Amino acid sequence: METRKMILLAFAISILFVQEQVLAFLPNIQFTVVLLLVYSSVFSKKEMFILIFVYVFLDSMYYGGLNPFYMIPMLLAWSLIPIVHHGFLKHTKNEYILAIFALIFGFVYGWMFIPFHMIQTSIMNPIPYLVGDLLFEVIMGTTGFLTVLWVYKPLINLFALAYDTELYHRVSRNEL
Amino acid sequence: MKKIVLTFVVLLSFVGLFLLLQNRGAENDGEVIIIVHDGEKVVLEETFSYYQGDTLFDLVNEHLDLVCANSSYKPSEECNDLLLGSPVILGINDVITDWTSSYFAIYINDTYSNLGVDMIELEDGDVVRFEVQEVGGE
Repeated sequence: METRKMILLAFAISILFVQEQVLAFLPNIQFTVVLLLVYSSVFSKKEMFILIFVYVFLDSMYYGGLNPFYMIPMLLAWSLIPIVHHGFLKHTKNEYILAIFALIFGFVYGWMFIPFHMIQTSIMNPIPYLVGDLLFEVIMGTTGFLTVLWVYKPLINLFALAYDTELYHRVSRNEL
Repeated sequence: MKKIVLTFVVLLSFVGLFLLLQNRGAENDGEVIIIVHDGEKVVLEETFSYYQGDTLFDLVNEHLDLVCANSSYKPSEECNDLLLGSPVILGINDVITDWTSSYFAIYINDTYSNLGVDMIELEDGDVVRFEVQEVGGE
């Protein structure tokens, strides 16, 4: 991997981690979904998996000593973003389609934890988990939808500038 | 314009769902028996009166010493100071759980409740048992 790309990945992970901590006092309100979609538009699938693994590793270490009941579903859920974006969504940059995906993802993210909570607690009835998490899924879906709708395009333009030196210089020289 | 309309629709749906998910509390006044079980024995059994609009959480918060979880699931005395979401009770009087290895299961008339403490609708004569359960245990 190029040094430049590695540095960009490190910056991307730092932004992801820091924004989550800054917004931690607000339940499920964060820019993680829109940021991962922006990164997924720029980085390859392999680079995205590395980014997500490091992010989840840091997050799990910071919050709960790498608890596998949180770490594994987080890894699986966040990995869905590059998988779906690079696969089913065919790398689209249409913010409306991506916003709908972000809305649905808010719910899927919550559901991903249910089987792991069931194993952890030995309570095999999924209803309490579904009911208990519903409000947070709604918040996450709404936040994802609105942030992607309003922030995705400006962020992707900004990131493209940072990613592409030639593009950056052309914009600086007012050639675009 | 399309974005503004979509934003408005989604926010309106969010507020609607949020209001729908709120428990409006008991429909009438009544009495319930509250039992606290520490996993081995009953440590409290008392009858409390509730009033129209009360939730189970309102009732126990008024009459018992609670320790709630904060947003990081750490113990906090600030049970009233919640931003969205349901309160999670970690401790009642001297019976304390830690959420990671133990928690309070709620039984209504001996039936395991699928709802959280602020979502349960009180009905006259109900027996509500808060029982400590080890996570991963039976």
